[in-house]
Amino acid sequence: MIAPLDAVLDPVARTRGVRAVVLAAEDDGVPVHAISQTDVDAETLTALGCRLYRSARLASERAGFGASSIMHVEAEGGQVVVARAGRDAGALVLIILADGDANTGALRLVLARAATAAAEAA
Amino acid sequence: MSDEIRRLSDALASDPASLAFVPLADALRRGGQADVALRVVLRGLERHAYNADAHDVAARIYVDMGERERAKDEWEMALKIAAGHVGALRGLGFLAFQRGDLSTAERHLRDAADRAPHDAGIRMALDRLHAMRVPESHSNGATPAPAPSRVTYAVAEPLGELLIDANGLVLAGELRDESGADVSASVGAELTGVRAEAEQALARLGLGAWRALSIDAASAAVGLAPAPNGAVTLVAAGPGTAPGLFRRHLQRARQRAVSFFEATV
Repeated sequence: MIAPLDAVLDPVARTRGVRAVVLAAEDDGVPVHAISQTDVDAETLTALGCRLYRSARLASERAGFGASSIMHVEAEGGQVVVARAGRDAGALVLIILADGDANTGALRLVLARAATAAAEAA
Repeated sequence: MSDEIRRLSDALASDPASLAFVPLADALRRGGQADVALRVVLRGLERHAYNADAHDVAARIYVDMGERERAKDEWEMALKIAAGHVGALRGLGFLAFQRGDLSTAERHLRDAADRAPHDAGIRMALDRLHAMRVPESHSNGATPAPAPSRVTYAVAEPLGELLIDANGLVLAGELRDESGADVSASVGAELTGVRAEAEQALARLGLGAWRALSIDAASAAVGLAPAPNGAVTLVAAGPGTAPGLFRRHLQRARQRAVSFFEATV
């Protein structure tokens, strides 16, 4: 399963400004597959990204907005984008860590494509 | 004579140099006594020529009398005295709207809305303006006149906007669900809890302070951004709202939050 997932994550990792991309199971926050620069702790990114996404997703559902597909957090030193891959419970999520000046539109586009591909490959 | 007018008249009589002439003139205007109101406010302006509120009231009286040019002069004077005077911005927007200058109307009303984000009247006026501007670009015969590019786009307005304090309590704004029920408090309480989570995660990832958090949900795009004093501003828009437009909505909400605290703290 690793080789197909490389094909899924590679286009994301090659996107300008992306420092790490991780595919993980939302529930346990453990990486299934990751491509990251050496200065990024992929496990920490996964754990925090999954936890934050789950909090935002549940809050959104309780607030009546329904299921969430993408969460995007912008900070002074970078941005984190999380997209759900698949609709089932225990679904996979894709997490991107990118530079603050990375093209947000490009990030969302490659992430959406990768989320679809990951749901099919997994 | 109403109790309010009697009370204000007494106050002015006991202290002719006071600013009681401003609410008195406005009360007279609202009571349909435009001529008397005008005399009161003009007499007061002889002593307080640089009182922006007095010029604002004078302008309203002139509008009631049908003298729009004089009203415009008074509101422009109010703005010279107090840049960003909400009453003057709203009034100039109203005048521009009446003469069909929708771009100027929108500029003034947007300025007013930025300074008074909780003013439902201004927001309703803007909504009405937008409703008029979209069909405007598609009407008027087979060869429509070239229009500024901005009016060729239908701008989707947010579903609602909230300003929530550090304790999750709504400070300003309103959000309603599809049935029309006010869900401001529950949405505010649920989503502002995500703020602390985001701050912790970003700190541990070494990314510094957060600037915005947005969620694409099934029935809405929802965005949060930090506001002064530990508050959070929240914007909800339709699920199909373009991401770039949604970001602009969130930026404007942040600006309104800053204005809110400048005006109230």
